Amino acid sequence: MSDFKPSAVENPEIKVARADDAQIIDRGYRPYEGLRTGLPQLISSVVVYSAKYVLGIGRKFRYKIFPAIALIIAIFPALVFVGLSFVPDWDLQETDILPAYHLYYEWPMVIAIVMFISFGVPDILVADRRNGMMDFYFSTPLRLWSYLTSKVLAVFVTMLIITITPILLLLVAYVQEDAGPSGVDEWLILLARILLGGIAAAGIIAATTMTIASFVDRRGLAAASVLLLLLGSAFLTTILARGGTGAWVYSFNIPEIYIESVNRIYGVLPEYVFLGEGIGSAGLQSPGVTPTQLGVNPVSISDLSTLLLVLSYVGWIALSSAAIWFRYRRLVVSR
Amino acid sequence: MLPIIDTVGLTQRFGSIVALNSLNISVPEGMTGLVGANGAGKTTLINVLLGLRVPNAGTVSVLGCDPITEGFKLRLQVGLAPERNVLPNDMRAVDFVRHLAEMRGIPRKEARTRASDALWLVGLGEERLRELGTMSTGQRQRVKLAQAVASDPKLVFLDEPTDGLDPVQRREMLDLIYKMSSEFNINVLLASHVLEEIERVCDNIVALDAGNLVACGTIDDLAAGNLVVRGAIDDLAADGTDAGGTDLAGDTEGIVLELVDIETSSDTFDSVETVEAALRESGLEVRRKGAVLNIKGSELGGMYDHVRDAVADSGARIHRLEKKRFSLDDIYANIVDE
Repeated sequence: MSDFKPSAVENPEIKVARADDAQIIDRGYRPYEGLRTGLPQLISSVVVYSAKYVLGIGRKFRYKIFPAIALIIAIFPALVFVGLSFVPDWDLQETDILPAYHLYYEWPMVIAIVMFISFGVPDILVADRRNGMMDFYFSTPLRLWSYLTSKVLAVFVTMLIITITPILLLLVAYVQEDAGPSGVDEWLILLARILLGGIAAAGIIAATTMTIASFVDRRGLAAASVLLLLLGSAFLTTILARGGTGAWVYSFNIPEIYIESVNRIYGVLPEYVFLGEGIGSAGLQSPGVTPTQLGVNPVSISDLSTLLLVLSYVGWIALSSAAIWFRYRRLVVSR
Repeated sequence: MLPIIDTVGLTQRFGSIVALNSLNISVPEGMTGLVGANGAGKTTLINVLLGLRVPNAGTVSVLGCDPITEGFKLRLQVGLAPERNVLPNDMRAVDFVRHLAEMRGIPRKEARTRASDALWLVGLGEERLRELGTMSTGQRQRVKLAQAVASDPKLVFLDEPTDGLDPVQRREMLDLIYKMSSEFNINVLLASHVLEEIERVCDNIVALDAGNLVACGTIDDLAAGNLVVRGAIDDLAADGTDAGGTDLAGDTEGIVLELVDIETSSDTFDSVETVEAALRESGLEVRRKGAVLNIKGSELGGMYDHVRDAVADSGARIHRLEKKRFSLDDIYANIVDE
């Protein structure tokens, strides 16, 4: 440096390099000598890419609208509860404003989930088939099973944002109200319930949505089909139950399985509500007793044993997985 | 030197259709053209080489790996630019290339840098933040090329990379592919039905026709007429020539003769046929298309004499006569005709 400066001063033709003159001259494509990542990293890359895609991150504004609305519907009420819990001299417990954890899954979460799975989730599979990404994926080490696993995980993870985040916020509100769990064991149990509840709520809906999305190539049609399946299964099983079938028929009622799974995870005793016939109040007066035991017909999903409920849940997941696998195996990966 | 692609008796069927019929292919390092008409089996072969399809019979080795049992290891080392010109339109070019580099085992941070570098390499450095849906066909083809090479593969499969490009873009794309292969030591299998492209940039050729292997070797050998191949590898003589003795290619030089057909009797115009027959009798190889004869022989001077005599005897008039170097197109057409 000391040699350079005097020369520049003596000779004005010599230009002294400055920071804003700096250029990167050694850029460009070059061989890669480092290590290559393994399958878990490849799967995580697809999960991150797909989750961002379904949430509209890095995409045009119109793709962000529905995920944003779904997230707002799911999380905003919980944020309000948290805010209210910090208002001094206002006992939310006493005024019965704070909803029970399990009730939050019914409202507003279910609306958020329906919106999310209808307008965002099907695209996670449909888009790959339409925009050629599948061709690229199958030229990489990804195989059919790892591809589908990645996609299911992506849906699952994004749905967990909706099914877990607001409940955790609700927990904050409860704690602020001095109504949170006390002791390590209660904390662990509640956290486990929040985690399991979120997984249970996300799992069956994600599996159902993915099944529809694997068979339908139009995202709008896929969204309509998902809604039709959810509402159709609820409607049909209710009609059949009224017709005198056993409680087993509720094994085919996806929305009821969703709600009842959460209820049982939270240890909620059966709360019988059947289209305004007054069974709800009877149930509440006799917690733990099923409508059948009360001599009230027709049966409800609460009459399903936990074992049968779990089997129904697992059955739907297995059926969905098999359908997706079957569909993709038959897809010609023609690049 | 070990071949980068080696197949023995490779057969792929779809029901009763034989898409690949007992192929024996040996591809050395460098740039290799995979030629054949649409439906010849090019894409099916690439699928098998990538391990996307399990062949019905035969063995396959790519970069020393069995694509079925060592698919993971193999696909970390290869890149593919598929034929279909569909890309995720609402994704930025750099994100797309980066994601696929990650999918081929490049760590996340490194993938970001390499994606940019690959896009600069293909001439899209300034466009790297643009969404793919806003790019022209030429730019999208370049993006496909960039994602194929971003992970520094040892072998790249390019399936019709000039599809949809105008002549200038085609030339630029071929130059780019050639540059990448030669400067960065990337082996390329370039599938195309445009033989001129293959001839321009490739050292080697694999030619398919309806699932059958019709030629495999260097382009120079093919043009010189001492190539090879039809049928099983058992049919090949030890020196690599076809034991059956079929002359599949022949000389690279010949004559194009265009005649004006002259009425030779009251109602016939058969002077062109007369010339054709006379030239064949002289031992020359002749392909006729209307009044145009493509003539091949071993010695140019003698060929001119034969042409002169045949035309004089027939009464036809010469409209055009020129010396021609036969292109790969002509050679391939000959092979397939046989």
